[in-house]
Amino acid sequence: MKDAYDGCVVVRDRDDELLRVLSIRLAEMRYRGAAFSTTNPRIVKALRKTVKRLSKETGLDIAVRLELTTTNQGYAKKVLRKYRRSFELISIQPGNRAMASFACRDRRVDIVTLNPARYVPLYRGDWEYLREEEKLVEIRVYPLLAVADTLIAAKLLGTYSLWIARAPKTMLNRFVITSGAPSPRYLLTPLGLLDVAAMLGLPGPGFKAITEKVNINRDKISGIIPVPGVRILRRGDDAREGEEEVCAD
Amino acid sequence: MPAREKRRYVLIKVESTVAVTAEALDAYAKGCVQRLLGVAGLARVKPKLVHFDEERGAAVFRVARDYVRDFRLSLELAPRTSPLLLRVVRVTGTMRKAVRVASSMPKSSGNK
Repeated sequence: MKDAYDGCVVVRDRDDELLRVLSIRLAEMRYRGAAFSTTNPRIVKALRKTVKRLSKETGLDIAVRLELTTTNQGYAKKVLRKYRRSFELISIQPGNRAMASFACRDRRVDIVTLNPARYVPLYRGDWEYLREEEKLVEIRVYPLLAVADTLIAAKLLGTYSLWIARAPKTMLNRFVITSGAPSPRYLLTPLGLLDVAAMLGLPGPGFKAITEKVNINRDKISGIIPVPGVRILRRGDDAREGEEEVCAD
Repeated sequence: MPAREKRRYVLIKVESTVAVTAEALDAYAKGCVQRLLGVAGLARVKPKLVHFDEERGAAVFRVARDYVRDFRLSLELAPRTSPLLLRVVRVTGTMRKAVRVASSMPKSSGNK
């Protein structure tokens, strides 16, 4: 479990102390990294600064993630246009069918987060888009932990199972399990996430898929991948004679 | 002759904001298993508290070997609205080893 990665730790406000405690707990639980998720894109600069300091302190690989929960496509497009290159991961939690279709279709979105309180079906075309763009589908454990009533928890679990049952079998490896924890109390151990994945009938919690996604997006932001399919291996003086500077993947 | 039942010992760190007794801890863990897996699941998992170090906030539960994963999942998915929170630290094959690891855990100041 060396590659354990929690794809979503929710940061509601930029509380440095809370972020520090969360990072320490994640390191204690032997996570390799985590993505701190916010719904407010304006705090990105301050959040990046804090995350950089915490990464040095704890040795965790921390990514910054933006989550959009709007049902307004125009607003989503505006935010994506402005902030895509500021965040390593961007997810959309669709509240209706139109938004689900948009989240699957738009190339700038990395993760489609499933909301168990509201079942929005994903159709064959959506799954095709998800496959082509190598997007991830996220299942969060937090809603299951936040409810005290067993019947409500059972209903939420049933909704997750319905999505998984209706997904193409070849897409099961695109599901990722995350904690979605807003505080240290709601964090799960890596083995806990693995057990949840096994319970839902998934091949795994998707640690590798989300780590790959973060690494690719970092390369895109830093310019190492200028366009899809091209990776710059050496630049300027580093280029050796007779060697191509740009190699296709 | 029936085969001997195989067991595992699960070391747990108790995170609590209130004082906890061994009986309450045992009942809470069984309640968690029953909440997720039902009465039939509880009968299969057979969790039993065999060691509790109040000072260190460490407890050892004995469970049926084939259902360790179910037990761990039940504790992970326990509702966080409760003041008690159990985190699995390690699974061992013998009680002696589990108690040895429990006694090496630092004394916790958070548990009352």
